Amino acid sequence: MNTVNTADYGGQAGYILNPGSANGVGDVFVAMVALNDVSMNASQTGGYNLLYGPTTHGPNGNCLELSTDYYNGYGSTGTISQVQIWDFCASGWAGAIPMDASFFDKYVRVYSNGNGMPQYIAEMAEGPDTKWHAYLFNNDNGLYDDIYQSSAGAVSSVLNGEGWSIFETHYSVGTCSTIPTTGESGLRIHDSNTSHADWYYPGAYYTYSYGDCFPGGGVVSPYYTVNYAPSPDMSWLVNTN
Amino acid sequence: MMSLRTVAMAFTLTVLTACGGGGAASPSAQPTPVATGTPGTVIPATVQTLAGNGSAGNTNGSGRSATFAAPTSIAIDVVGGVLYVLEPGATEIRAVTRQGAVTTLAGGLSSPGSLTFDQNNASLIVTNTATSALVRVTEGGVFSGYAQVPASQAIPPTVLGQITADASGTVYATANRAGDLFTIVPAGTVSSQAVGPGAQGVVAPSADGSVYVVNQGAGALQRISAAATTTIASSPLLQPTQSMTFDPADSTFYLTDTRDNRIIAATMGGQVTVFAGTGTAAETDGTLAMASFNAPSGIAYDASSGALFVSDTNGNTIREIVGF
Repeated sequence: MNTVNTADYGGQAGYILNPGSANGVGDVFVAMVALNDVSMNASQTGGYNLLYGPTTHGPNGNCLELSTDYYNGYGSTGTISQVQIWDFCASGWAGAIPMDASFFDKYVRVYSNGNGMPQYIAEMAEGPDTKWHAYLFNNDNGLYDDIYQSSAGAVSSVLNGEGWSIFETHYSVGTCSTIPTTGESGLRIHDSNTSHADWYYPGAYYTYSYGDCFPGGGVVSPYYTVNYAPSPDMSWLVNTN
Repeated sequence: MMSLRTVAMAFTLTVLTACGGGGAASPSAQPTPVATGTPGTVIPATVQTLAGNGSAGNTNGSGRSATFAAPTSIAIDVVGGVLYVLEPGATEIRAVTRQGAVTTLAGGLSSPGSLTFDQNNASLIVTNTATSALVRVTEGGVFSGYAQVPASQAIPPTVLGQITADASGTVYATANRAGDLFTIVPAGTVSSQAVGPGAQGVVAPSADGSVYVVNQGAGALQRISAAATTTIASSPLLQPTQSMTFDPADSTFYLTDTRDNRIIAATMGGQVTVFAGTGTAAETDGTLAMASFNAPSGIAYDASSGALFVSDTNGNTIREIVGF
């Protein structure tokens, strides 16, 4: 059943990372990396449907969020699939890269350390120039492409410094079954302590699900079966079919 | 009970007297002190600093003796002749007269995100970015509940962006990530409407109830009415929009481009141009083409003086654009 919804009853599931959680002892966070799922043939129908899945944002002042977007409606034709950049230290939306054949060729693989789904590796890090950089790992040359930089010295206070790795829907009522299975794995954050700087699993976080695609967590029916499985290695997968 | 408008004007008179101005006239009746020169001389449109000396702080005073702490959202009480400026980091609202006298209206706001002036009720409406609540701020900085966007619609990290109020007191707010336009009627009822990823900036200048919103993702300025959503202008220049205002005399929207340190103009006819700013992050006054901004954020058009007021967030100043 596809229902055009006139109000935005959003849904979310995933990890919320507490500020100061780089290694559990409050060291300053300077980078975040994750393997993000992509769907090869996502197709949504109905009036307005917007899925961020996954979408990641580092804690402790990171200006950037990287979203894997699928949406239809909003004046567009068909389903738009793209990686979108948000800059909370500027005016929000900061650009998008279409998930087309070129994107898949450069960035998408089934990685041996991934979750078995086609994924791209995204990193957000604060550089020596004090700008927050968004990087995508380019398999053609084995290097990270620097796709966006925030303003120098900027710090975000969005959600009081919390970070996230989540699945998020907007509208989508009655269309949850058409949403592609998607998730994230290998989430790590990096601290700046010179004595032990390294990649860590976030030391403080909580998980949750909420909204119309999640049983018991939403306010609008119908609900769909959800397989939501946060795991100790900081991965999650959502299947609303 | 005095209204916010009454209090602000009374304070303005006090400041003028204390500064030796001896002003007997109501400041709201005085013209903005611009466009001086030899009669017959064409004065070019200019950008000048109304208040703030560039240092970060919360010192009240006149003109460049005052300091601001990363001012963002800005709104104007056209009748009272007072600008209201939000400083989210300091959780304060500052009041600025057209002559540049700066005072603190209120402090201790909870996670403030944006403000607008409700002409109908002569009070300010301020958003809370953490809870998606809206509060009314009246005289003396008194807060009262105004509305709450339901948690079911404003799931975090939904952040309410620019807000505006129409003549009836209905408030419109954009939610950037969610791609929504929220409409909040005075009774508190909230409805949402899809705009698209990157909904940003909102004005409600139209007598027919139309609301204008920027869809950053599409680089489009859209007119939203009960009947339809129509794109009236489209350009990459619109994508970094932070906030916008409307000049009905010229049927032109003016938008802040925080990222690129510029002011953008978009006409009802669909023309989009760089209106002011070199693009360099600096606090340089001068002609539209020569002036520089440093992360311009809020913008408000003052119909009574024909000036634009801009909050320069990283420059810690309030700028005005006159003579255009």
